[in-house]
Amino acid sequence: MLVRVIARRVVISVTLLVIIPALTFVIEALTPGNAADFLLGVSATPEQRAALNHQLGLDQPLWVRYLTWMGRFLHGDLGNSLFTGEPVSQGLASWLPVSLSLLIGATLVTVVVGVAIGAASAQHTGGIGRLIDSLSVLGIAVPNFWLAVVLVEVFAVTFRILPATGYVQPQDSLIEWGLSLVLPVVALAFAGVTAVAKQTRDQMKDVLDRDFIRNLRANGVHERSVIYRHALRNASIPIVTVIGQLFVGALAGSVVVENIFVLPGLGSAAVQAATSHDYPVIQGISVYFTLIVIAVNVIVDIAYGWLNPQVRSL
Amino acid sequence: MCFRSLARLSTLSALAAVVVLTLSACGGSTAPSSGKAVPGDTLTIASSTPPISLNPALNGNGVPLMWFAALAYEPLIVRNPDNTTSPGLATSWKYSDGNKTFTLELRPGVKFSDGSDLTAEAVVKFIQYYQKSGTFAFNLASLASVTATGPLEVTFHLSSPDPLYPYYLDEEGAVGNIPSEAATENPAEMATATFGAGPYMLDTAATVPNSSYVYTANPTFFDRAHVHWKKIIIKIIADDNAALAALRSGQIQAALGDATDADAAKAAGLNVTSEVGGMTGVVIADRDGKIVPALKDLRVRQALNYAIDRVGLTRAVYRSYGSPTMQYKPAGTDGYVAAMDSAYPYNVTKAKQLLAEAGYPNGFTIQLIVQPGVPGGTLLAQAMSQEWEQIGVHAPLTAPATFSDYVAKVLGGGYGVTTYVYDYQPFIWELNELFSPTGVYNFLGAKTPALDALRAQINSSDLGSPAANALEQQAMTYAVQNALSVPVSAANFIVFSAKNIGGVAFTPSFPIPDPTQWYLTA
Amino acid sequence: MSNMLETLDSVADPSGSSPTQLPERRSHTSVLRRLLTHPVGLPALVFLVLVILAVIAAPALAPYKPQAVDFSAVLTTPTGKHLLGTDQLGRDVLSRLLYGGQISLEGVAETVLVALGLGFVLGIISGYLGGGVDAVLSRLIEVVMAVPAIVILLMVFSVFNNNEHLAMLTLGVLSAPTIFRVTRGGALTIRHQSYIASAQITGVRSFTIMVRHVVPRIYGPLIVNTSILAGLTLGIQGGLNFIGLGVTPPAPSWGGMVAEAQQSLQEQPWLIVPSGVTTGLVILAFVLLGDALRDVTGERGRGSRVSVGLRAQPEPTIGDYPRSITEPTGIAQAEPLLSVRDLCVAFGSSARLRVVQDVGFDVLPGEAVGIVGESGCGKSVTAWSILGLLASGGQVTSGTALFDGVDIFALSLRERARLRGKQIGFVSQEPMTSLDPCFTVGDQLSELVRTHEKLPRAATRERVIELLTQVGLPDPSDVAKRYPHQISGGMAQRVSIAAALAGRPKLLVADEPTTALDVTVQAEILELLRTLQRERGMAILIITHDLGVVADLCSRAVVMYAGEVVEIGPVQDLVHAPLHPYTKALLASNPAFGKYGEPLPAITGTVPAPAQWPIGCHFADRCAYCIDACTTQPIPLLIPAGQRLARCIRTADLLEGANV
Repeated sequence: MLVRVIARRVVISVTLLVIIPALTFVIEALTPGNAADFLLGVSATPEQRAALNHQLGLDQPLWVRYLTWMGRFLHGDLGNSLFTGEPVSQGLASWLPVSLSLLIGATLVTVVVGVAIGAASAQHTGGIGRLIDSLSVLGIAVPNFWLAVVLVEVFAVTFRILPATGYVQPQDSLIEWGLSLVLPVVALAFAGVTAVAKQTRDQMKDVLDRDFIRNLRANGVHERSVIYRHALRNASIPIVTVIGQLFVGALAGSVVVENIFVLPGLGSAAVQAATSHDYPVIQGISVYFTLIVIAVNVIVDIAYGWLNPQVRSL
Repeated sequence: MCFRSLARLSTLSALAAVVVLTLSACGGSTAPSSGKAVPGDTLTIASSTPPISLNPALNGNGVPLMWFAALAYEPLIVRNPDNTTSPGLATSWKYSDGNKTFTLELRPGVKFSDGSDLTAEAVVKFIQYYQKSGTFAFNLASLASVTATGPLEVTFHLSSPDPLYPYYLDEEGAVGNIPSEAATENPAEMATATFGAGPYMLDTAATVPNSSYVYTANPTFFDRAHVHWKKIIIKIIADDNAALAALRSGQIQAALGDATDADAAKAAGLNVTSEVGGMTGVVIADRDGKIVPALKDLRVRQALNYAIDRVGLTRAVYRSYGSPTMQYKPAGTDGYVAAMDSAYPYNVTKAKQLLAEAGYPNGFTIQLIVQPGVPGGTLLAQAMSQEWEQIGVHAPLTAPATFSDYVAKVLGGGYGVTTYVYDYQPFIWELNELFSPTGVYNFLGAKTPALDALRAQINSSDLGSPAANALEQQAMTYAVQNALSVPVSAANFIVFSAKNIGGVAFTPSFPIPDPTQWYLTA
Repeated sequence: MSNMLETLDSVADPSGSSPTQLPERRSHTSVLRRLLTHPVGLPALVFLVLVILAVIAAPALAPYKPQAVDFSAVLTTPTGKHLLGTDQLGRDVLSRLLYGGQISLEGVAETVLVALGLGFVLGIISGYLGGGVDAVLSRLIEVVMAVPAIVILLMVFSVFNNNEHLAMLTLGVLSAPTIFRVTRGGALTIRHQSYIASAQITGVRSFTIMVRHVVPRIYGPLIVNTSILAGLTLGIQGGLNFIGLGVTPPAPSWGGMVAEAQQSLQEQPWLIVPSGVTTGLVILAFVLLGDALRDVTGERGRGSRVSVGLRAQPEPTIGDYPRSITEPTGIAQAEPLLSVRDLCVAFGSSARLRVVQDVGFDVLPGEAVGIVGESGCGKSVTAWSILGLLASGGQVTSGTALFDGVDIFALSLRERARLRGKQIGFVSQEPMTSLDPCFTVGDQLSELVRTHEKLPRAATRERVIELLTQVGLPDPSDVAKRYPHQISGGMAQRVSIAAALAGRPKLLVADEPTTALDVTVQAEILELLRTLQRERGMAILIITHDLGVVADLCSRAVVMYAGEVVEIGPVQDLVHAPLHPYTKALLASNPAFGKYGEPLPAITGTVPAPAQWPIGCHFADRCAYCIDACTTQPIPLLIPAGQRLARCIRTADLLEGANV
């Protein structure tokens, strides 16, 4: 069964990798005017424009361009940025670690803190429980961009304990790298933590209502083990799928957060490319985003299969 | 609000790149540190934008873009803050033949950072390359040919008189930032590394593109005394608040500042250096009324001038770091006419009256396009648009996100009015750009015959001389009285710097803060 | 989120039936009414309606035009003229919020409508047509779900030059999958219903049938998801507007206003509050509304909820139990292992609802005692209260339970917990849900063994095998490797018993251990229990509704009815000469005594619910022997004969076989 799950995921992933770039091509083709216009300006002569079109390969039919691109992509060549001339893959290689630092950091914080809070509070129906319920809603409601601005104002500008913007590479200074990620991760993870805490709490409450929990207690198993070994293990199965969704949500949020904190990752590069119509870069980033999402989904599927013995053992 | 930087330029744009200004105040600057210079270790400064390209021919100009080129590439002609010039890679230069021939002598014994020599050939090759591919190649429109007339002598032959070459070839004009001949022949390399003869060189290993650019001292720079630092790092910090926070925490030592942050910067113990950087306002390209016939009428254009509360608007958009203006150059610079400062006092009634007289009692509609890079940005445009609403002139805004979008739209011919920043250069530069039938910002080709004669005279004159200045003042009077455009504010540049950084100085005649001049004080 | 009504968790059904599969279908009007009385949903709904109305009426409500500048009042905090302050051009923040809301909420509406429309239509088509179309559509939707929406949005923005409408529509398409799934689920269920088939026969167009039947079924989750989607969309849109995509100046938008505020943050920190808080509150309202809708449309069916009236219940009697109620065996009278007296258990806040009253019985060491009664009589609650595992809301309000001489109820929670497993073991009814599905049998047993005895690993393994052998499993090491879902019901029940034995308890409490098993397995399990009792001298307290089981296994029986003990005595005596009319009726209604061709014998009437317990005998209205005296006052436990007890004043008549 696990094999089936993975096989299915592979099929979807391959489909995505084919479709998303194709989609970018189609959308690009719908633009009035094309890249050559933007590069040369309308005052260019027809000869100049034809030459540039030919040079950029823009005079081919769409499907030919797509296939050419696909062929190059499979060799690792994603073309060059229309504006800097740099190879897109080079840019992607420098943006990816930044985004991954942010995304993985945010997801880790979300999961660890959220699950801990949710599990610990599962027993309490009184004040703590209601607090968590309220906070979880707050987490969704507070817009992450607004939170980011407030965080910067409070921690970086007023109290000056954390850097306001910028990214330090881990190879330069591990500590600075960590510090530069604290505020962005908080801004990104805030909504997630509260959602995961609530989900965990809800799932735990469900699980704690179940027969086998009662039996474990009845036969003398320590309460700590009941909650953190048995209940949490059972509750984590649906939570794992939530984590997958969270990551994808974080991806969307990272675009805004990277912009605010000036982290040179895929998100800020994407916005730059979008506003300057730099299509090769947009295409490259779309593919990378898709790859990240695919990887996360595979990991989630595997984790789900591993956690759930009914899937694992068949 | 403050628009920090120029968006990406298209490589062969037909319009001039705009000098990037940020806001600063006339009456609020603290004296820059002028202690004795001592050798410094690392200077870290912030730029709101990464360079368009490290290739000096493809980068933009203005601050902070020019910093990326200025650190590594010594220009032919060095312009000082007070608008005097000093020898750079060229030791002397002169015009002849009625401003149709420009000759310069090069400094002997200069080596580029890749070890090759500075020769006339290297200069010629670069100028030719610039003519083909450079961002501001249109500045060289009058260049018929450039030749090496000696091993260290370069001669420019112009097809029509152009007195502005000492400006094109200075550190800000961008044409004069000469790379080695080998680099000019392989321009792709210049996108990621530097090959100049300037005080610093790019450390490609330590540089993270779009994040931080590291420059180390160039051991072969011909003027070692002026290399004040072992290392200069330019960090990219796009957000004003973030830059200020970085300044406060000591992460960086200098950055261009924003008017709204100036008080906070002072409170934090930073130096605030502020001078008039340029005039902002709106340029009426449609003076011939091709799109909006009303604009042909002098009374209409004057009404547009009367309808703006320059005092209130300046205060709102530029805070105390700007002053109202009605003309195209600030006080103390060439072309400025004191009398013109009272040409259009704020008077809504009069504006409405003029409109009615011209036959537009109910106003009309104009398409106002916002140029990226103009200080005040969309705030300026929104404010002016709202002022004109009061007299019935409806001015919806179009704000393209990038400069290339702006170019495409403007050349498409649908816009007659654009926000604009009037440069610091000699007034003739503006006159050509705005009022020559082929001027880059005269995108609807409006004709102003009265100015043509004046311009021709100035083009052939000895720029900077009293005679030339008188001519420019005549031109200024004409331009203002005929309401050819709507200048609104003299906006300031502001630089925030740490107290121990000296040499942060600039003037309205050359408001270009240049980090190569900054040093550590004892 | 608390309910206004008093609720009772599903202890009324102690056999632990799982909640209903499909959410109950409630009428539309009652949903609305319930929403309007929901403590959180109502304010959220009202707030949203007010905001939407305000935003629509912006031209009328806004004190200024959104672009109107005022250079004399730039970046002010709230004043009389400008209730929320002004921005950098002196524009009124309140007016800009109202007009900006038009753009922001319009975008949300676009997204939601597209998602709803597209998802619903495709879901219906997929569910209705089934087969190949469904397969294709479902895969397609799966792919769409996997697409990172932000990528597509950025591309749309870049190509179509900040066209906000197009971006919102795209977001709608990308959000359709959730709606699709909900609709498809409903449609598929309907498709298989027989009344569709019959309606088809009558010629009514199937598609319309589908829509008409699907909508009431799914509108609950549909509106919940819509509300949440609206909230999420507003957040996404705000973020995009914040970085400058979608809505360009001078048009105000909430996200854009936050960006403008950020620019002037140093000079006027107040400015960041109105835009950020407004956005946050509206998102919050949408999400809270969604939560409330989930509550009122019964989406959350976690156990049946029964609302209870607040009528006073009659006070319990103080029973008068003899010190020992066991039958003389000739052996010196042993001290009971477990001795329960005057047990009362109540539920609800301030323990308002008593479900067990005045219960008492003894269990001698090594003895098997059965508590018998029908569903709802309180037998399971009694067992759980002894174990200390009452469901939340339940508490023991009075009584004692002496175990080995120590009152369990007086112990601290920790001391009680130490009893479990070590002194008292527990086996539950449903073998398939009684074990943790995530761990192997061996793992779970090992943990139990190690909890009670500190053994090294090898010894633990041996003990686990020993336990599995003890319960009669033929291949213990193989079973130990398996997961609970890989063994049969009978095996699982044996494993449960092994788990209960791990701590070598003196008493085994078994709650309906054979009810969920088929007959042959039942017999095996009972045999096993008997063996264990004999070989290990373990006492067994078995809860059951099946008199046959009691007769098979137990020496004594405790009969319960409607929360009370009605009869206690040796099994044989009880079966042949019941002392309480209920016991007699129970015996008579055994289907085994049914005669062919005649209706099955049953007791007429129904068991009274705890809230409806009469003052007198609880069985009175169904009793053939009932007289006035039975109903006017509480009936105590009487000792009519030997060591037997009965809560009845007519036992004499019963024994004589007389009828009223």
